Amino acid sequence: MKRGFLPPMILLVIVFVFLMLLPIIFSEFFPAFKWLMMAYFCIMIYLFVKRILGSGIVTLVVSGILIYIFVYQLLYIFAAAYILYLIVGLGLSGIIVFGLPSGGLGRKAGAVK
Amino acid sequence: MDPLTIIASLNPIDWILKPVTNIMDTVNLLILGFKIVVLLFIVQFVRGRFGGGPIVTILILVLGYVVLFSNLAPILSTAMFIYLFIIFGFSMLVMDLAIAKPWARGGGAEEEGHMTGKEYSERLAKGRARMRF
Repeated sequence: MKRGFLPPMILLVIVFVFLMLLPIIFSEFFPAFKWLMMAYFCIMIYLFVKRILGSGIVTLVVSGILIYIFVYQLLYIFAAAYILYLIVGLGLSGIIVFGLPSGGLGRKAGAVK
Repeated sequence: MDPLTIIASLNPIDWILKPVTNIMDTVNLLILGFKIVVLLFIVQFVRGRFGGGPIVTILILVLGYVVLFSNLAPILSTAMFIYLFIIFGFSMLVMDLAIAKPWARGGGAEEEGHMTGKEYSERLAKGRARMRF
């Protein structure tokens, strides 16, 4: 393992974990955020199922099951996974991955020249 | 009170087993949810290629059974999971970390990223001067 690999890697993991924990922290401090998040996930799951199965009873049943599992039972896991999906899907991971080590955390300041 | 009775009343096995069973419950629920999502992806895939109709429904059921419940399920589910990872863009993150190595010290690309405008223009001027001679 090369020197200088581990600390930035740990830092990246910590940053990603912190970002994933943000919705959980917010929902602990602001209960309204939790309800908003639940409503958003419900709508999102319903639209996801509707896009595949179309409008009908089956869509309501399947989205109901998925909402029960992911929103009612596993809300925090789903929220953390969704944040990770957003970070990666919107391309923000590149900013984090390349921005953090070059921002002076992975190397000494003035080590460029 | 008998010490054994006290230990039994504390029920130490339960302390160990309860978190484990809770975690297993959560994992099982997660797997069930993912199975439904994978079934939806199969429906989308088959309908996108073959349209609607009874034969397509049978095909969806067969594919669903093979992917989710047959002996091949562990292999196919893993493949499906990797496929989902790729289409959601997680592979880009892995590629960034594994190939681009943003923490590498003294890398050329990284140094260029650190250059100020003044340094860049100086470097350009040096390059031009070198080209003249």
